Formats: sequence, C-alpha cells, structure tokens
Amino acid sequence: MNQITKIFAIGFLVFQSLVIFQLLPKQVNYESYAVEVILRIFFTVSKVNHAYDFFTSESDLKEYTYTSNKVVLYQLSGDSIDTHTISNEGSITYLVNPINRTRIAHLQNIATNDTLLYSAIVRSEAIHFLAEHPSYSVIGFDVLKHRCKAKIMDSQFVLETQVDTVFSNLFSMIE
Amino acid sequence: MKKQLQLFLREHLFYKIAYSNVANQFEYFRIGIALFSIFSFLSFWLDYDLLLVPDGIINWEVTNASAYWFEPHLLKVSEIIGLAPMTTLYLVSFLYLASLVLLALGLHTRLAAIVALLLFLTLSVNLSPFLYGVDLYQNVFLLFLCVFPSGYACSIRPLPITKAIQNSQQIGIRTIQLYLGLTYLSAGLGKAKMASWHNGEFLFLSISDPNYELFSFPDTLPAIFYASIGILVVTLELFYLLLVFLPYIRSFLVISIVGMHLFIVLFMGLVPFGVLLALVNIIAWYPLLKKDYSTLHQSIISKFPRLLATNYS
Repeated sequence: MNQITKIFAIGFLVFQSLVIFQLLPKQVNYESYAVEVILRIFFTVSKVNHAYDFFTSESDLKEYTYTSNKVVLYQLSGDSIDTHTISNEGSITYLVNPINRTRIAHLQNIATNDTLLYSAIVRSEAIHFLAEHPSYSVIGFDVLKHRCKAKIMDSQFVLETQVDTVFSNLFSMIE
Repeated sequence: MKKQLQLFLREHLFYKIAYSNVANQFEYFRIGIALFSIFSFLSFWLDYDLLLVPDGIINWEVTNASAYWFEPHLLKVSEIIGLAPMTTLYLVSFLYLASLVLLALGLHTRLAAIVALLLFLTLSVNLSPFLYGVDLYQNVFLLFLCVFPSGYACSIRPLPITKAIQNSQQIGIRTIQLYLGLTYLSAGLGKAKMASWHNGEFLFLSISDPNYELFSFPDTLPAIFYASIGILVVTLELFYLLLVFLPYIRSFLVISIVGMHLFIVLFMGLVPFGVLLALVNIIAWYPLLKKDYSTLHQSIISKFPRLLATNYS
C-alpha cells in the first residue's frame, strides 16, 4: 500500500514539475493512435499535463484585454422594429448567479480567441435566446474587445480603454 | 551550535514527513473536498436552465461534437442507456451527489471517490466551455482521494487505523502540500516575467475588469498600494515552498495566501476558486499555525507572567 502511494506521489509530482518547468515537449507526434488515446485518457484523469500560470499569459505581457457583448433581439412590428436587449452593462454574465459569472466570462474570453469555437458558441446562444423569446425572430451579437492600459495620474492609476468590435453577427430562425 | 542546527533541521525540515502532519488531517481534507464539490456542483444548478440542460446557452450538440469519441458525453451516455438526455442528467447528478455525500460521511471512501471522479469527468465533458482553474484543482484533489486512504476516522463508521495506513495518509498530505507549492511556483514564475505585476498595473487592471467582479474594490487607492501587493503576491507564490520552512514566517505566509484567496473571492468574483484554495491551504498547514501560535503564547506567558496573571484575574 505504502509503496503504491509513494510511487504515485513521486510520479505525479515529478511529472508535474517537468510540465511546470517546461522540460517536456509541448507537442508530440504519436506513432500509434492507441498510444495517443491512452495518453489522452491518462492526462484527462490526472490533469498532470497542465501548468498553473493563472493571471499570466503571453498576450498579457503586452496589454490587458477583456471582452464584452451586446446581445439584442429584434422583431418587425408594423413599420418599426421592437428590440429587447439581453446583455446588461456589456455582458451576458448578468444572466447567471454571481457565483457563476466567472464561468460565463471565461467562456466569452476563450470564444473570442478561437473563431471556430466562437461560431459554434454564438449559434448555440442564438438558438437558446430565440427559443426563450419566441416573439422575436432575429438576434444580433456584437463582441467588443477592450484593450486596457493603466496610466498614473496624481500617484493613482487611471484606466484607459480602447474598444474594438471583433465580431458582429445577426442570426434568424426564419428560413 | 551544531546541536541546535540538528534540532532545527529535525524540527523544521520540509522533507520530514511529520512536518505539518497530524492525526485525522487527511480525513479533514476528504470532508473539505467532498463538501466543496457538492457546493461547486449545486452552484451550476442555480443556473441549470442556462448551464446544464441540453438546450442551454451551450447546446449539448456543440460540446458533444468537440468531445473525443472516447469521452463520455451525456448525450452518448443517454443513447447507450436508452434514457432521455434530461433524465440522464438527473441520474448522473444524483449519483455524483450521492458519491460525494458518502465521501463526506466516510463510507466506502475509495469507491465513493472513484465514482465521484468518474462522474465529475463525465460532467466536465458537457460543461467544458464553463470550466477554469478551480475545476482542474478539484479534479486533482478527487484523484488524490482515489489513491490515498481517507475513510478511517471522522467517519460515521470509523475503522481501525494501522501504521501502514497512517504512513500512506502522511504521504497524501505531503503530496497535497508539494502540489500546492508547485502550482504557486508556476503562477509565480509567470508573474515574475511580467513587469505589469511588479508595478501593480496588472493587479489594478484585473480588479477593474467588470467580467471578474463580485464587489467593487475602491479605485482611489494610490498606485504604490497595487505595486506593493503585486510584489507581495509574486514573492509569496515564488517562495511558497521555502517560506513554509521558517517558524512564524510560515504563519504569515499561510495567512497571506488565505487572505489573497478571500480577496479573489470578494473582488475578482472567482468564488469557487478562492474558496477551494483557501480551504486546502488551511487544511494543509493548520498544524504549523497552531504550533506557532502556542509557541508564541508560551513565550509571552514565560516573559510576562505577572501581566497575564493580572489580566486573567
């Protein structure tokens, strides 16, 4: 029993150290598909291949960025257009409990860094919100990237933000 | 001098397995992780219509399409067992919570931990777009509970504990302590490379990020405050594994790290992350806090006996 736990502890900590100190190759071309699957399962269960560089990243070396959303539902009503804004203060994180806001914010961030994922996520969100508000037929998504800098004025930091629209899409359930 | 050094090493060296290791500590870890996992999963249920159900904001079709063929997405599970997706979600959620309750109560702990980890991984496939650092830690801690024995005390059915079990639990506690130290080292190394962490800019910007906010932090504090806290955070994370050797400084380290995580909870909105890390730090190092406190208390009593006698009378 002791031997098994000792071997596990040493193996786990040594592997984790190698990952943290970047002593392992970032990508390996596996000769065998079976080996790739086995390793994938091993890493999924053990999570030993993860580095823990929270609040740090290559992009953060240059500037601090965050994303915000504007999600609006539209419906023709005679000559005018009815609108219903789903996002609040530039975010859909307000739709969920405060405990879960970070999870939605994280989703927004990863989606803007991956076009394919963004496309899938935005379409999924569009279907959800249109199904939730069946009286509206069109939904608009604007994703804004906020590039932030802190300038010092009178010995205090002052926030300077430059906002760019990175995605702007309209979706409809009408065929 | 040599004798003193030997005593110091015997008393404080990190590799000595009894260092910050007391009876029932691994059981406290088991209960802490089980209760945290229940809290974390129930927090998803607060927004089940957006986060959990098949037609939530991320449709199950999306997460299923991005999962590998061997990953147990609930959509695949529901097809295999022949139940509706929603029924499968209820079933898996019930089994997951039941295994965590068994783990907290100390019943069939290894089996309960294995079931809890497998179901956590299953649910993680569905919830992958919403997962971040805290879920990584939770996964690893559940894995530790699968490997190290944890159901011998603090249980509604305690079992006789042998020397071998005690040793395995000590190795478990040491693994948690070293794992924490390694993860802080990793975070500290990344921050040390960033000038914006040394001048406080990054801290100010991340606190100002409206996406990560539970309560507003006052924005009128001087820049030197953010710079000082930024340097303190980098120092604590980088030297965590060294500072934890030193009497009294180790108490400052643990209290500061716990304080940092409570700050993350309140002002950066990372509630599960801050709660889990504060909890595990306390469980991993509370014997040192107790020891430093009692040593300090004893030295005060021996130096100022009259003062204390007056106070107590």
